[in-house]
Amino acid sequence: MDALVNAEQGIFAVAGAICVLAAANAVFRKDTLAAAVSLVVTLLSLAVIYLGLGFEFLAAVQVGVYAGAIVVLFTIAIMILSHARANESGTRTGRRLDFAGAAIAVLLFALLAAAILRGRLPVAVAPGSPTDIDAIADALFVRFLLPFEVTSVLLLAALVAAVVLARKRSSEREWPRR
Amino acid sequence: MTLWLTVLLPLAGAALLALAGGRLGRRAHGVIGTGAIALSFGAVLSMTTAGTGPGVRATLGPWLPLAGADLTLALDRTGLPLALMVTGVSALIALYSIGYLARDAGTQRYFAALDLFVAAMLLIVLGANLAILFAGWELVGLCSYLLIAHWRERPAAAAAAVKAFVVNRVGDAAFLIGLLAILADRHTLAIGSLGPLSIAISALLLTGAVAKSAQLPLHLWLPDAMEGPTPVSALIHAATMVTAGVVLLLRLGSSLAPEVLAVAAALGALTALGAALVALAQTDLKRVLAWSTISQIGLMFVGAGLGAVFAALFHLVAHAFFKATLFLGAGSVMHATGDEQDLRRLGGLAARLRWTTPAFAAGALGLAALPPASGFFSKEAIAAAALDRPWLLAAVLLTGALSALYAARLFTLVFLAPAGSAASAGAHESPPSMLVPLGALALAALGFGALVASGTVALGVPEPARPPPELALGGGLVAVAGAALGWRRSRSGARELLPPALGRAALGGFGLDALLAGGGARSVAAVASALERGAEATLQWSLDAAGRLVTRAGARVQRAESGLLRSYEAYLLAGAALLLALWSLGGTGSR
Amino acid sequence: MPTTAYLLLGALLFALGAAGVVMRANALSMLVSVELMLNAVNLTFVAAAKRFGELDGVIVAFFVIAVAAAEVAVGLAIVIDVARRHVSVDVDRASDLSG
Repeated sequence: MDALVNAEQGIFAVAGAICVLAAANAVFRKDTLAAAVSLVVTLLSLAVIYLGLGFEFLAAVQVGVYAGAIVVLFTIAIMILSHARANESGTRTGRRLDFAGAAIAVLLFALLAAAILRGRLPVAVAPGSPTDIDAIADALFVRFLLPFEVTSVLLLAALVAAVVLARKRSSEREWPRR
Repeated sequence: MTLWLTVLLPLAGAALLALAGGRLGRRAHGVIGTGAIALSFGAVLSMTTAGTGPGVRATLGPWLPLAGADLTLALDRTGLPLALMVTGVSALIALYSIGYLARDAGTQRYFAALDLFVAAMLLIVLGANLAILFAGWELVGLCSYLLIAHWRERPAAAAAAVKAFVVNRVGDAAFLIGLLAILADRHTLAIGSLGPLSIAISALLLTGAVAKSAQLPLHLWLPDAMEGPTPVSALIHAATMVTAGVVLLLRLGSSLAPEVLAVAAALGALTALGAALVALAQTDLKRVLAWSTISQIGLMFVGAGLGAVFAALFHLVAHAFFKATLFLGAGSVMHATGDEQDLRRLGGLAARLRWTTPAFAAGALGLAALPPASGFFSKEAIAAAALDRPWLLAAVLLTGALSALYAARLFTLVFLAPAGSAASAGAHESPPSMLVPLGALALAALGFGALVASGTVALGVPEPARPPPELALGGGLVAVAGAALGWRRSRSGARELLPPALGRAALGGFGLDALLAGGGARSVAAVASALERGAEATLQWSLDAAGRLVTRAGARVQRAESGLLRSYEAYLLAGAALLLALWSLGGTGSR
Repeated sequence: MPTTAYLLLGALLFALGAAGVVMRANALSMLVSVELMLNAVNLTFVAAAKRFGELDGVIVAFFVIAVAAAEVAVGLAIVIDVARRHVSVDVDRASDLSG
């Protein structure tokens, strides 16, 4: 009788499948709002995978920041630009790029897979994985304190930049009429 | 070490003038230029009085180890008399130049080139190996070019300088090839240890000498070189540089193949005769002297070719004195008449130029080989050497007659015949700065021959037995007859001394100039311009091709700069894939 | 679960994102694809952290998330600005930097 399916394996299998499907949907949907929603699904499934690996804190961050804040930003932008259109694959350059994109993706995956499979990695996972919140805290606030602080400055800069870039110029009309 | 001083002093003078002369005045140029040469003369004189003899060597240091050539000067039997003559005559001419160029703006260039010339000429006279000699050989050619074209703004002068340089180049090339052949064969260039040379090498060296000494057929540059200032004509194109060919023959002497020496003598005789005929028909004061120089050097070639070192050397020095006198006198005449050179327009200057006239006469006497002027004795020596070669002897004697003829004609037309123009009638004497050197040279021209013949002055070369008195008598009579004829026919004004057809041909140098310029120069020029056009076309095409290549490649690359974001991303990812592939294939796939 | 599986999943997600970046002309879709690629990288780091028993991979993932947030903010602001000028979010039309 086979061993019970490992919880981690099971989680991985299901979450992984959902992740790939949602990702494909997010990338290739013409309707950007649907794409954004699919993105949420992808991110959440990744969070589940992190949980399965035992990284609870990271999973929480993934849900809160990525699926929570970032996708919200996306959604707002999509709403603002709902009137805007993009002509895809209509031109000869577009068709060439389609082909190039597909080819590159296939090539990349093949190479990566080859590299991954050839590498001599042990099957099992090392015991005693460091998921301890204390260890994480120590890493973030002691060992990597400088990058941490720099990142906060970066976020501040991004905030200011976003505001500056996105505001209306006084000389422009609000939305040019079509 | 004094030996090297003779060369280094004028060299230092030249350097000083070249580098610092711009800040000095005209007078300073003349003083420095003349002083350096005079000091060099002093050095040579001190060696003479100290009894320094042949065999003395002085080395400054190593130079070309592969050629076995060091920076060495050595005195051989011709070294001391030649060095004395070169430095002495140069110093006097430099002094003369101060007055002659009193109002010239290019004195810095002039005296620097003059000093450099003296240093180079001494290298030819004193160099211990052919490498040093050749260095001096080339340098005198350079100085000749610089000085012929001293008045840079005159196109005729520039053309003459180029012609001189190019014709000399032919000889220099032959010389160099011969030199390299000697090096390949003997592995040494030291004069005196060369041993007998092959006919081919000797012929090459003779060609170099022929070009430098303006003998047939490479003589065409010398008459044109008269475009330079007269002191330059006196020094370089009469007394020193053109004699370098003779010096070479004398110094190499026994090493040269006898057949080639015989050719040299025959060539010299032919040149002497031909040039004398041409001189007889000339109407330009300086051109007569130029062709005369060619003729006299021909006589020296006869002497050298016959192995008569004493005769050739004697005539070389004597000729230097009287020809320099004649040229400086001509300069005085030109200074007096406002640069009038046409014999038909000169005349009657005897009364007005109290000092120039006798000086010029002394030179003319020497040229005509009338006793007791030095030319008489030196020409007799050459004739004596040719006693057993009837043809050569006849040529020498005939040349003597012709020389007397044109010398007398020249003197008569300039000084005795009635004045041919207003300029001539209103002539004034030259300043002392010009007259003093002129006088000194005139005295030398008069007395040198007698001094040597009587044994008071020794040339340092063994003298042959005394020639038979019949020779002296015959030579003297021929000279007197010729001179008298020349005087009579010219004293009423310019009259042709030759039958008209011959005269016209002679005036034009027997058409050799046109022949060589037309045939030789034009064909070379045609080939050169064809090559140039071909080279230029090729160059143009290759540049165009390079340009087109770059443009096309650039256009192709530019298509990648589409501005399309997605294209850039595609390139980026493709590059990453490539790197990944390379990394995997590179064998570092596993840890 | 062998580490290889996680890595393969990461590679697959990365390839999908790469395809999207080249094949979509809509700027917003392009940004979505970029986010997908970033997440794939995160997954790879986390898997490595698990495999080697080191926390560093997780820390990297944290920072990647933080930076991704900043990047999305600025990127969307730019897209909005460009859209105002060109009335379009088609990146193919925004080729002013050509040549």
